[in-house]
Amino acid sequence: MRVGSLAVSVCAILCSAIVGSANSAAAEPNILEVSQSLNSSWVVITGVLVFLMQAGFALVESGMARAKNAVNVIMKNYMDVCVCSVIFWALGYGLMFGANSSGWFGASHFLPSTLAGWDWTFLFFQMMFAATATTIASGAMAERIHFHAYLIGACVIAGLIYPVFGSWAWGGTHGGSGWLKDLGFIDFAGSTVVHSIGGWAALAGIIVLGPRLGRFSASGESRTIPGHNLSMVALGGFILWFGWFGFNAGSTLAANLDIGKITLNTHLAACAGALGYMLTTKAFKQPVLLSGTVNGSLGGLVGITAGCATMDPHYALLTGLIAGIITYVAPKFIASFKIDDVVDAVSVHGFCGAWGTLAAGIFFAGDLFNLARISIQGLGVLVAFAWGFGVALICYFLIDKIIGMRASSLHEQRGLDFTEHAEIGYPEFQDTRALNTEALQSQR
Amino acid sequence: MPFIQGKTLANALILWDEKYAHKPTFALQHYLRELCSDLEIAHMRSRMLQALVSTVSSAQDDHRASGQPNRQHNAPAAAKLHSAPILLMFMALVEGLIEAPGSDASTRIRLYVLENLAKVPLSSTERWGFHAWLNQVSPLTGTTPNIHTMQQVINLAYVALCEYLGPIKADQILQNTVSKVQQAYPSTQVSSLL
Repeated sequence: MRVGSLAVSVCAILCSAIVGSANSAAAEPNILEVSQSLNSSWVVITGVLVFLMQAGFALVESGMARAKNAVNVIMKNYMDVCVCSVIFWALGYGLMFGANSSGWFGASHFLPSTLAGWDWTFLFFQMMFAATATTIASGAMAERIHFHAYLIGACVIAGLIYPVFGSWAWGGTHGGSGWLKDLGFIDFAGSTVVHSIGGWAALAGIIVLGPRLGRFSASGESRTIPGHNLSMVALGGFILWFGWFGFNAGSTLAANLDIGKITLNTHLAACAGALGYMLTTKAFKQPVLLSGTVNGSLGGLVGITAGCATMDPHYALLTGLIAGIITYVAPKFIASFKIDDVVDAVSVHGFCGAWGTLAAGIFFAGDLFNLARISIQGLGVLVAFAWGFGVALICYFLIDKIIGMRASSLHEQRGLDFTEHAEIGYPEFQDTRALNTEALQSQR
Repeated sequence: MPFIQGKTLANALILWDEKYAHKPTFALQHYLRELCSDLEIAHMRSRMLQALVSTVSSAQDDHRASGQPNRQHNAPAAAKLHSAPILLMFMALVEGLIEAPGSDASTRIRLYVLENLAKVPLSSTERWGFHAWLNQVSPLTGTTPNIHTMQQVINLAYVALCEYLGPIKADQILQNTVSKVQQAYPSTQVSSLL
């Protein structure tokens, strides 16, 4: 009886909807409006997917850190999306996409409050990109940076470093154009603009910070400090991979027929990245590590981001494969300088981003191996390094001098969960024999 | 019975002249560590240092002390008589952290703590007391460092463990040593020193 009355109600609602639709036929939106609505829906949904990547970063980075720093790593990821979104809305968007008459930076649309319908969509999507560029540095600097110092650095990346370089490569949405863009620089979804910039900023940060206690022996030998939860690393890898479909396919800024190939290229490159890492480890007779495999796939994703729309799938595969090899080799190269990158963010985002940007020029569909294009890509890579690393180095140096970046050795001993947040990640499971519970309680 | 003699003694003097005589601080300790390590008499390092210190500090005509350089065997007992439980716990914890790795690594860690003690704000009396204690010349009596100072000295030992053995091993040693000291001193929370 109840089921019957429910069915009648549903039918009534459907009928009234059909009748209503027929009555409003005169006010039916035209095909352009439908297209704009679809595009906006697509870009907002992909923007939400890019937001989900923050969760992926949080899981990967926290899992690769020790248990006593797990909360701190997640807090940095959680808060930098909050801080960066506000900064990007207030300042970054105008610098990156505002009227860019000089080619060097945008100069309008700061603190935007009256935009056209599509521009809100675009702002939201780009805000998620800014948060992604910023959060890359957090994992590299894990386990030894003061929380507030990190957030100040994040503000500089989101409010200055990322948007200014972005204005060179992508600028001109509200008038004018970026100088790199005018040269023909290709970076479809941001191998360089987002990932390399984040990676180079991370490199500057970890140079200023120095390595964690005991990461390198006095004789220069590199010591592995394993993360506390590899399941989190794997889940984070999957979530990042999932979000990356939005990152690349959403960069079409339109729900069109290109998104299929872009998504396929993205997926193939990620697979090839993991394979590239695995084959390299086998070639060197080393074990295939889970953390390395996840980084291999992430390297493939970073690598394909620049050329996912302009490459044929077999070249996407090759790009990912080489990126996977880079994720094996580059961390060893960086460690040889006694630079401590907790999650290998510089290798995955900096180096693979640079490779992907070059690959976008090398494997440009229909015009392979065009030296002029490759040169412009190379110029973009070098300029990104000079700007991203240079400004971040100055910024972190100043932060270190003014408020101090490096946590004290006592804080490293206690763990930053305790000293920065007065809580511990796993109160029921963590070994708390050496935990000063009195001091912990007194902080609360 | 001398610690070393003959050609070995001559080589020991050469080692001192070539590598340590010009060094500004803690040259003697480093010298003895390397010497004892080379001659495989690491267990004698502390006694040799005490003998040297005793010889230098004794009155010119007081040669009776030279035959009995080691007062350390009585030290824990003396310390127990005169020190507060928290201080005893502190000493046990630092000694435990230093001694846990054993042999040459322990000596390196001890020297690291000694060398970096300058970073800890201490009065001259406290500093002398800490030096004598860490050199295993006498126990840490006659001074009661505050809790923050104790935390800093323990942290120096932890940092040394990280540098010489790596952070994972350092954390394990810290946890295990805290457990052992806690069992020895059940009435006071050892973790309050961390």
